[in-house]
Amino acid sequence: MPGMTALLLCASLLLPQEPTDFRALHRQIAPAGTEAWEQIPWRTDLLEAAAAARASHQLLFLWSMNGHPLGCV
Amino acid sequence: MLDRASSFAEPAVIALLQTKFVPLVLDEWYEVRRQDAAGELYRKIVFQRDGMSRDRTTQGLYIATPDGTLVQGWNNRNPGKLERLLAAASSVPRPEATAPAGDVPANVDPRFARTPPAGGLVADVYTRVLAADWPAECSEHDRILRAAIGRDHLWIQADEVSQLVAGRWPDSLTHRLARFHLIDNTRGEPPMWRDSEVTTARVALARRGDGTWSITGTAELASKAADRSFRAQLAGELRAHAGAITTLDLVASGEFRGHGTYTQNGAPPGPFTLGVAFRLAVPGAAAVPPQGARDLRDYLGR
Repeated sequence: MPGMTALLLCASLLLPQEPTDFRALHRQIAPAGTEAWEQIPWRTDLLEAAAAARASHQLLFLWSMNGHPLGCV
Repeated sequence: MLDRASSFAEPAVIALLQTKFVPLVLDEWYEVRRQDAAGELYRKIVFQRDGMSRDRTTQGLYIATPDGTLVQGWNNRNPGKLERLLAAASSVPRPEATAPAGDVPANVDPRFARTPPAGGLVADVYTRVLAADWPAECSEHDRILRAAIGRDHLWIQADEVSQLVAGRWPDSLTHRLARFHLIDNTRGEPPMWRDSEVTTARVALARRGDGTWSITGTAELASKAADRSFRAQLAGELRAHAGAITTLDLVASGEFRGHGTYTQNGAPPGPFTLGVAFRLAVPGAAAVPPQGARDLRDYLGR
């Protein structure tokens, strides 16, 4: 299984076996900058958002998920 | 994660939400349960949607007036529909205020209030599949899923911060990190590890000559049903200055096997390498509680 062999080789290279190795791996996982969806000024409190919408005469746009849409989903 | 990288990455959608709406994100698990003004307003909005009933999920996208009158409500991932409905709603006259703007009601159901621990720290948590034996066929949907970054937040309590400043890694922090953050959340809501599924979890600090600490550790996690496991090595760096933690950079990576009910769509076909990175959040920027904090006592180990 060439694919599995490649996977195992990759896996062995991607483990932070030396404490000094972790920085490259950290950079590979965590985003370096802002992603596109982060340009949206999301609010996380419904009552505060409703008050802001009322004050600005705008509509609410609500994105609801089981698990926070900006978190672990 | 899929929606963040697709529907809400569309420039037209971003522009509409930036200029024509007050955009809001919520975890329905809290909103359908809380018995306070926010919960009442949430339920007022979502249960106006066609076909809704109390036994259906309230997940979805909603356009509403500030007093809770539904303008549009739907639940699918069609980016074109999202843009079209946003554009249509933004083209009608803006709603008149139905009540005078005033202070936000202060009553909050304490059972569902989640705020970071006083005197503690919040770390951003990112998760990514680093290597997998992916099938050659790859749709745009697959491409997004394979590159997806899972996100969460780790809460560190005040007494744990004190221990870190003193150069001791708290066992309670190791256990929380293992159970609730060494998970594969790159494709949706993942199962957390039960207490009994933590086979091994060790983290240690070693003082360096420059006064910083290196972090090393291992974690072995395995589900009771033997259908999911993660064997990870941990490495990182901790820095403190004037009695405060200034740097907490940590990586856990290793072989992950299996998936959960809500993470099986697009999952790698076999074992894969999963990486989880932690770094201190910008103060005040992490308003979203950890997914594991739904059961707050369990999450905090209290």
